[in-house]
Parts: sequence; structure tokens; C-alpha cells
Amino acid sequence: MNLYKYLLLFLPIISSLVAAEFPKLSAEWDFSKPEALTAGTFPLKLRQGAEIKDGVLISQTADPKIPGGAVTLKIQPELDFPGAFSLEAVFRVDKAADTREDMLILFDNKYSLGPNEYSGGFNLALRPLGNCEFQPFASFGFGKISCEATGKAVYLEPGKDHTLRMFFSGVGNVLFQVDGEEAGSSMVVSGGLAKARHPGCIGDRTGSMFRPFGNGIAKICLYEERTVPFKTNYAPGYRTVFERGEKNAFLHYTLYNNSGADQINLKLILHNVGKSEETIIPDLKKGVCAEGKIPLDTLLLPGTYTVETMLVQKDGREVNAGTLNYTIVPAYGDFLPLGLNGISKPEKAREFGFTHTTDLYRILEAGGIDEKTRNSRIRSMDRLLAAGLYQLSHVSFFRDGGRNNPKYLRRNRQGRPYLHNPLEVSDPGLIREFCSITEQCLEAMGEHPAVDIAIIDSEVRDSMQPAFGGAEEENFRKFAGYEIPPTVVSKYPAPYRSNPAFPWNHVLPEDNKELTYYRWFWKDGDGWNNIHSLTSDIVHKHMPHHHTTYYEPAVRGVPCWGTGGRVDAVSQWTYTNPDPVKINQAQDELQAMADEHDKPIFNMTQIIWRRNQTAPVDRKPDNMPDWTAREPMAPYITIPPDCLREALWCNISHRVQGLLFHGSGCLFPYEPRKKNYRYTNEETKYVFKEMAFSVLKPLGPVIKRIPERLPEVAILESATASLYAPEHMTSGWSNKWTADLHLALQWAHIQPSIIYEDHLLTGKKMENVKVIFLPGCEALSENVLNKLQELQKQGVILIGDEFLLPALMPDYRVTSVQRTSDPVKSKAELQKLGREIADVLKGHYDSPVDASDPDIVLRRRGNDSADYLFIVNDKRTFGDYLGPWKLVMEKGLPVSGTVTVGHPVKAMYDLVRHTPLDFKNTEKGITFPVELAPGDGKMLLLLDQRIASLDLQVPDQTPARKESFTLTCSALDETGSEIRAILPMEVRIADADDIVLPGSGFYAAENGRLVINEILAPNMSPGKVTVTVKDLASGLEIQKTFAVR
Amino acid sequence: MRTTGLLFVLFLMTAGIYADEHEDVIARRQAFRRDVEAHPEKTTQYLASPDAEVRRYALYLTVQTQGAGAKEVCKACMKDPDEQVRLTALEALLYHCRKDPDVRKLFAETASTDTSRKIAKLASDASWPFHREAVLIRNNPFWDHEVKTLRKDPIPDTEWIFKTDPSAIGHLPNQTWYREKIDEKGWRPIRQGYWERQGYNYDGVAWYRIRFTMPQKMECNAVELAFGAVDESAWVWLNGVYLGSHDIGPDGWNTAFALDCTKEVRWGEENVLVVRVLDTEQAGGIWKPVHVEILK
Repeated sequence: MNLYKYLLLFLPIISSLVAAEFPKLSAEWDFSKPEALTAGTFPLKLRQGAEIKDGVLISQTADPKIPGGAVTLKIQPELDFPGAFSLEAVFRVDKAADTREDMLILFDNKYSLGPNEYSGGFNLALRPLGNCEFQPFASFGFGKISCEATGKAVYLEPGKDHTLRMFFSGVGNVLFQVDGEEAGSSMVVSGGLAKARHPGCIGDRTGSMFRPFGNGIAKICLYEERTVPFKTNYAPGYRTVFERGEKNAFLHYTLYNNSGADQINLKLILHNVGKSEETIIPDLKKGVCAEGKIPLDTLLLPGTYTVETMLVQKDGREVNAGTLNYTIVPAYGDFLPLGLNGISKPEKAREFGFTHTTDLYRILEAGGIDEKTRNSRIRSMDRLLAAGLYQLSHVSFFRDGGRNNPKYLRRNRQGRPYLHNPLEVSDPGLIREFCSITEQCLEAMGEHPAVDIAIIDSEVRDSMQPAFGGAEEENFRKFAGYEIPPTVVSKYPAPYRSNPAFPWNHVLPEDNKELTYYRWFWKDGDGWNNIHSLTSDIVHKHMPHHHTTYYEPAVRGVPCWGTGGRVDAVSQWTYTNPDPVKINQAQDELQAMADEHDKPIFNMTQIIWRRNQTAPVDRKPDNMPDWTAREPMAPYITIPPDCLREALWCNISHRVQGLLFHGSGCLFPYEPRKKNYRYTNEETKYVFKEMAFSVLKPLGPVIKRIPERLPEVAILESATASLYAPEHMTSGWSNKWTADLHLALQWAHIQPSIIYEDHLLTGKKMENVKVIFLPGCEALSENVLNKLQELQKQGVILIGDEFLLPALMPDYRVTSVQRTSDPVKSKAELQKLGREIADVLKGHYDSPVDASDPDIVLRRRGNDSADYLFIVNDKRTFGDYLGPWKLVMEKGLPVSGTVTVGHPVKAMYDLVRHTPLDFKNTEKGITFPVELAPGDGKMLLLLDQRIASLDLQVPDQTPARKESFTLTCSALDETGSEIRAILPMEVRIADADDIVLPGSGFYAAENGRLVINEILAPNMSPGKVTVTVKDLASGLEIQKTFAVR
Repeated sequence: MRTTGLLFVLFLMTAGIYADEHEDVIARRQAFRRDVEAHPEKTTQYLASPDAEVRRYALYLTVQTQGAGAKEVCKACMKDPDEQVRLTALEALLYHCRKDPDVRKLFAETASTDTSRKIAKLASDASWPFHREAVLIRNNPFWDHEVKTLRKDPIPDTEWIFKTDPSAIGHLPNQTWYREKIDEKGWRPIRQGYWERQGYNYDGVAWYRIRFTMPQKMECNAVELAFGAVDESAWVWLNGVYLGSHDIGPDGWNTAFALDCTKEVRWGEENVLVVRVLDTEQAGGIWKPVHVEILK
């Protein structure tokens, strides 16, 4: 919103500024004048920690227990304004102000900074945000309640004089200006302030724990302002931002009678986008708000609209009652969500390509949601939606609800709570309480379209342990018909080697009681999957709009189906050091978990890298990079740019429904809240931005839809082996031998998938499996062993390692590679292993794609007629960012080579460059050269037909505004048939004034056809509408026009 | 001896089959599996196969059929050049013949001579002589009184000495590093904390020793050694007496545990505490404080 609109909002106040008697100077303290303490309107005395020096008041900065600032000699009733007033402060900040206090007080006669009862007066402060950014803050006492107002973050140059002006309207609005520029506004309750109960204090709190301003305040002036007789405002708890096309949208408002007299038969006239509506308010007492609502036409073009309000009093006099704004944002589109945790500046995040953020909106509160919280969160969501972002909400009972409730703590066999106080979530009382609170909170929050995705809990199962003496134990008794075996004391059994009775062949019978318990515990027994199901159900019940629920980290535990219960999707987070292609392993692991119910997957990539793994603080190699001087102790640092680029390419080579990122403090310099996350690489954010706008957004709809191929080569992550020999298993951390084997296969151009025992036993996605790797399978259950032997008899090749249980004879045995801290050596050994495997498999299994260089990593998705080939450059070396420590090769190198595809291809397209590519036919398929920049990738489409032309159907009639219309675009082959592939298309619809209309954007044309149904906006320009469609595979473009009445 | 000779003859008989180094190893093993499935009686012939994988699986099938009766075959296979064959033989012996004195002797020998660390450790663990059922007073189902801590004294974290034991031999009868008095030459000072941070970039077994003085005797019901955490497994001796272990695998790295030492502790005198630590991954060591707790 620009300054002009704000000025409109405050028109009554602004207009009063030009009136003869207002603003009326009520108090002035100018510290540049001699004898400043006594020369002001009201005399002041300096407190212990303050002095006047060089024309400014300097409050003490050393000890918060020592009062600073200058205080009036007594309580000054003259400073109690009945209605509107403003305060103007001239001040300067020093560089240390960023870190000195959480609030730098300019003026205070309220005493309390936050909300409290029975307060009067007000205070005004700056909240330091770091990097010389400050947010204006004020708190107002209205007697029995207290309200806060905050402005926007503003940069204040240290050492320079700045002017902050705060207007309090007395009718529910607070406006901040810094150096003459609008700096945000807030709504508070209507009416004047209650009388202050404390003397006025400049530069510090008037009492209690002190928050000195520091250096220094030059001048404070207080003005009485004209108070308007009537004022319309936004009704608290209602939205002012709407998605285009939303049904039943209303702008709720209040009308406050500040005229000092009861009013009857007021006529309220609302002018809204060319329409006027009149409402009669029969009776409005003085000091009271009337409420009303204006129906909105959400088919308007996206933008901000203003409702002007006029009042006609009984005697016919007209009074301007202010303006109200509302915003229409584009309807929720088909895009790939790109979420970032910890954003404080949504606009900036959006500029870099992010679509979602997290931290602004928690849904669950332990004691339920009160009205004030609800109102404040709805305002936050409005701001977010208006900024073009959506919210990923945490719905976490563990974090927000019942944590540490002693009634529900999980207890060990001795009846004592476990470390970290995990909850026994099978307790019926807890479930009842949880459902009740969740229902209440979600009901209170209502539906806000900005709240798009809900994260159901996080890491809750990490601290699980078997619960004894309560519902969980009883549940097992009912399930199994016997007691929890006495050997069970932990969420994992004792290592099998410590148990002399463990079968010598490491094969556990299916009815083994301990195995039965642990399978039950990890699948259902610990109760969390049920809680997550219930949470997801309640979220959907109360938020029926485009809402996805997911659970993370979904594969942090024993690999067996069930995690997350009925949540819609599962997610995981992954660090990318030392090898960014780890992302592929994490994604495949997640896919294995999701396979049970074919759930969509998300993936979170850590923007943070752990310093101790990549550039340890206590090691001082030669050529220490510059960032270490700025951030010598940073515990978490920024992911290197080339590694982020590579990770993004790996991510989208999977069928993800959203990409999430953690660690905004490492990505952006202005995110100061996460003090451990330090900004150590300036390039990384630009890599994200470039990838977002050149790849992730244009191709997002396609990336979400291209099907995964059925596995041909699978790595078994065995639940039984994970329980009894967990040392080889990743447990969701994408490390250890099992994960490294995945990397070796990637480098060998053998596309691995991950399967669980559940896949083997149900046969799901096993149809095409030709090779199964069995890393770390030291123990298996009887059924799993039998299934593997059966598959082996059918010709499936089993490849084991030195840990494989004796009961199974592998067709080939590899020796595990145990990683060292030397990334060069580890990568070389794994690549060597990959070559060994490829050689052995030759003739038994030949990968459908191959490349001349192991650092050219390939991954295929698609179906019979369309092959989507992702090519990622993993050639790296030590750079100057982290290279000196020799723990990670973070610097990408260019790579060139050839790629071969083992089946015939008619046409090949580069989906990022939107162009056909040349290739050579070979005996079996094709071969083509590739060149890749550091960390870069390609997304190619290989077809058995050529995209020859585009066809576009536009309305042949002349639709009127507000009417619907349909566009159909087809990509055709040489015979005129639609291409049997999912094609990325860009659509631009523009009206006669070349204003881009709704319906424009990036799409996925399934089976070569795209159909768009849209409704014409009532406020678009009539006349010629031009539709341009570009096929982002071939680069072909087509344009047609139609007329609109 | 007779078995070894038989294996050698069989080896010569079958060696010709595998003369071609470039033969498809997967196809060969598929053929083997089909053969023994159709002709189980031929299984023992394959114990002499030049293909270690075939030998190992033939051994497995033999043990599955004969159980303890395969003892001699297993003993012979303990000399096999292939680690996997030896491992399978050792596991079969551990399960079927663990108490056989002859086999126990073989365990001890294997523990100190086998070139495979994994096999040596397994054999060493098999000959692990220390066992103690340790029940803490708080966990004693028959102790129906509130347990109060009368005193909690830290073990000084600066006076530990330390020695790595990569072959896991420190507990063997010819070593006995847990005794009160040993030659401490070669032991180095170490502090509480991860040993990696003190210059030992090492995963495996290591030993800690420390001397500390107990206060004068107090009226109490129990004395316990309380470990904040040891990454990841620990076996503990006080004054040469085995107190018990904390061994739940890597998951135990951050788990507090306590061991009763009521009978072993020497009041008002110097005591010798010895901790054998096993770390299989990442950081290792006694990384949280250790206390002597006097309980009433």
C-alpha cells in the first residue's frame, strides 16, 4: 500500500492538520537548547543513567536495573489526550543499538510495554531487528485493556538524525511515519486513552526493568490532533484480502461514533468500485461501534480497491467517515510450492521466488485460541496473502499442546518418565483432550485461504520409547494376546549379537514375540500415527479449501509403512553435504514410505550446513575465507551455491509436490531471528532465485505430474535389520552405508529405488524389479527371506554385502564402503564400487540410460510414450568457501560428455531452454553430447513423436465481462494427433489495454492438451483479448484473439 | 584332519569348473543354487568350491541340515581364506556348540589371531567372561521405600587415563586391563568428553581408568556409580570387580545409566574405576559427568 492510500485512510486526521487549531503543540522537550530540562513545556529531571551531551539525551546503556532517561517531575494530566494526538521524536541511533535491548524506549507514561489490564497512557519505542533495521512499536492503555501497534521495519542510518511520528486517531487507528515516509499502521480499539498513572519518561521506561534508548534523543513533541466525529474501520477478526473468485466474500467494517452525542437514523453511504450502497443505522450511541458488511465482487482483477464511506446525519450534514481498502489476489494457481522457514519479510521472500512461509501462524495453542490471538493471526495472514505468499502452518500437539503434561508422560517399566518427556499419545484422556483443543483452535481460526499447507507435528517420534503401565501396554495386549516381552526396554531391541538365543542364521520366525512387538510399536503402537490421522481429519474438517497436511520427518525411524497415518503427504529434510546427490536418496526413501497409499511427497532441503561437519571452528587451515572473519563462531552456515543448485535439480527429478527449505537466516542477511543461522554466502540466494524463475516456476506444474517409473533396481531397507542391526541404516539421515550405496548406483547410472519389507510382502511396485540390493541386511524375518528367495528363483538378482545374513546366498556380494572424512576418497571409492556393480550386472541388467562420466548423474521419469530425463552435474572440487577444510567439495566444475539412451527416440526437447535438441541414432537408441555448467542440470523430454504444431481454440462468440470462457490448446504431432506427454505451457491472456488477465501463467498440458476455464473480470477493458500460448518443450508459440463485450 | 583332507580333494575336483576368470559370476551362482536344490546331497561337495560365496552357502546349508553335527565342518571352515565363510562357521559354532570346551578354545584363539577384526571381536565377545545381573535399588521391585540421594560426588574429570584397544583384547586373561593394579605405561591422560576432541580419531574399544577417594562411611542403603552418558557402550569395573554394562547399541550414546557398587566401594580409601567403552560411530567416550551417589 503506498503512502497516498495511507493518507486516504487517515484523511480525517490529515485534513485536521490543515485546520486552524490543530495540531496543537501540547508539550515540547528540545535537548539541543540550553537548560533543556527546565526549558521544555514540562520540566524534567535526569535519572541516574542519563546525561545530555552534544544536544541529545543519552540514556544509560550498561545496566537494565538502573533507570535512564529524563522524567517529568510528576504525573502530568495535561498529557492525557481525550482523543487524537501525535508524538514526534527526533533522534539518532548508534551502531550498537541493534543488539542493546529488545526495545528502545522513546517515550513512556504507561509503564507496561505489553498488554495488561488497568493501564493508561502510552509508550513509543523502536524494536531493533538487526542490521540497522527497526520496527516502530507503541502500546496504549484504554483502562481495562491495552493494545499494541507496530509499524514496518525501516532502515535507520546510524549517526544521522531521524524523525519518527506516531499518530493516534482516537477512533481505532495508529499510523507511523519515519522521515516523512509511511512506516506502517495498526488498528487498536476505538476511543481515547485512559489517564496515565505515571510521570512521562523520555528515553526509557518510566519504571520497573529499564529499556534505555541509548544515544540519543534530540527532541520530543506531543500534539493534540483533531478528533473526527465518525470513523469506519475494519471489523476485527475479519479478512480484508480475498482470492479471486471466492464466494460469499464480505468486507466487515465498524462505524465508531466519536461525535460525543447519541445518533439516530444515520445514513451510511459506501462507494465501492463504481457502486454505491446505502445503509440506515437507526441508533448509534456515543462511543459505540456499529458493525456492517459490504458484499464484494471477487471477480475483479487482482488489486487493491478502496471503499469510501460517507455519513449523512439526521440534520442532513454530510461527514466523511474514512476509507476502507480490500485486496483481491489471484486465485490459487497450479504451481510448485516453494516454502521457506523463518521468513520475516514476505515481500522479500516472494521476490526471490518463494511461495510459502511458516512462522507466522500457529494453529494449536495449549489453552485454545482467544479472540485477540485470532484477530492478530488473521491480520498476519491477510498481509501474507496480499504479499503473494501462502502459509505452511505447524499443527503440533507436541510443540503447542500437551507437552510436559505429567498426566500423559510416557513411563518406563519402572514407572518413571523418560528423558525429554515424550507423551503417551494412546491415552484415551489425552486423545479426547487433544481432539477437543484441536477442534476449538481450528474452529476459532476459521478458514483463511493463505493457510495452505499444515505440517502435522515434527520429530515427535524421535523421543519415543515403549510406554508401560498405561493404554499403550494394554493396546499391545489386545493386539498380540500376550504381554510386552520382558526384553523390551527401549524403542530398539538389543543388538542381535548380544543375544545368544538369536537364531544363528539371523532369520526370525514371524511369530517371534519381540519382533511382533517392535513391528507393532513402529507401525501403530506408539500412537502417533493415530494422532496425526486425527489432526489431519480435523484440519480438513475446518479448513476445506486447498489444504494439504503432511508429516515430517517421515522416514526418521524404522523403515515400515504407516508413518503419518492419514495425513495427505509425507516429507523429510536433508542436509546436502558432502554430496548433494544425497537428495535423490532421501527422496527415494520418502517415496518408499509414501508408496503404501501412493501419497504425494514433499522434500525439505537444509539451507543451513553444520559448521562442525564442513568447516569446524576449531580447525584453522591456511587460506581461511573472509566469511570466517565476519562469522568466526557461526554454528550453522549457508549452503554453497553450487550445492544448492545441484540439490534443486536432484529434487525436481522426483515427483515432488512441493519443495521446502529451512534456514532463512543463512539465506538472507536481514533474517536476524535465528541467531545460530548465519549468513555466510551471498551468492546462494541468487542461485535460488535464478532456479526459481527459470526452472521451478515455469516447469512446476509438470514437475508435480510426471509419473515415477516402476523400480527396476531396488535397495531394500529392511525393518528387521534396522531393528536388530541399525548401524548400517540411515534412519532418515541419508548417511551410512545404506545411503552411500544409493550414491554409488547413481554415479554408475543405475537408477536406484528404495523398497521396504512391505513392498516385498505386498508385491507393490515390484513388477519390474530386476535387481535388489540388500545392504546391512544382517537379520530378516522368515517371510521376507522366503520372498527374496522366491524372487531370486524367478531371476531377480540379489546383491548383498559382507553384513548379509548367512541364510541368503547373494548373486553377488559387494564390500561396503565406509566413509571417511576425506570426501574425495569416499567419492572415488563409491564411484569405483558403482563401476564394479555395473560391470557385474552387464548382460543381466543394463540400465536404459548411461553417460560417459560418473559425475553426470541421470534420473528418468515418465511413461511408455514420454521419457523425462534429468541430467545433473555432480563434478565438484574444493573451492575457496569451504575448501580449505577439505571436508566437502563445494565448488562445482563444468562437465561435458555423452549420454546414451537404450531405446529409439523420435524427438528430444530441452524443457528449460524450450528448444528441440539434436541426437545421433544408434543400434538400440540414441546418443547425444551434454555440457553442463557447475551444479547445473537439464530436464529433457524424449518422445516417440515430434511436436509439429500447436492448435488453439478461443471463444468464437463474444463473451461479456463476468461471463466464463474456455481456451483449449493442443500440441500436435505430424499426423495431427495430440502428443502423448505432459507438456509445460505458458499462457498469456491480455485485454485491449494489454493488462494481463487471470488465467495467464504456467500450466501442464496432460496428453498434449490444455483446457483453461476462466471468468472475465467485470473491470477489465472490453474489446480484443489476445491469447498467446507457448509450448515450453518445442518453443512453438501460437496466438489468437477474441472479443469481449 | 580327515575333513580338511576331504575338502582339499573336493576343491581339486571342482576347481576346473571355475577356471575361467571371465565367467559370468551371477550365472555360475544361479547354476549352483539350481544344482543344490535339485540335488541336496551334492551340497558338501561345494564346500570346496573356489567360489567363496558358494562355499559359504554350502556351509550354511550343511549346518541347517546337521546342526551341531556340522561342528567339524565348521571348525575346518574357520581356516577358510574368506572372511564370510569363517564368519558363517563361527556363528554356527557360537549357536550350536558355544559351551563345547574345544570350541571355546577355538574362540579364544580366533579372538587373538583372526585377521578379520569383525571375526576377532565376535570370538572375543563369545569368550566374554563377565556377567552380572545389576538391579538398582530404585528398580528393585521389593524395595518399597522412597530413595533419597544423601550425597552425590563427581568423579574428577581431569584424572582419567586412557588406552585404545583396537583388537578388543583388554579383557582377555592375558591382558586384564580392568584389574586394580596394572602396568599403566602407555596409558595417556584424558578428560571427560569425546575422545575425538582430544586427539583420538578412533572408533572401537578403549579403556578408561581413574583413582578416586571415597568419603568416610555413611549410613546408607546403596552406593551407585551414575554415568551421565557414555558414547556408546560401557563395561564397568570397580576395584577389579565387574559391576555391569550399559550396552544397548548406538542408541545408548546419550542415555544416563547407573550401576550398583554398594559392596565393591571402599569407604575412606582410594578406589579404582575402570570403564571399557565401545564406540562404533561418530564421537565416542565418557562425555558426561560420572558421580558416586550415596542413597538412602
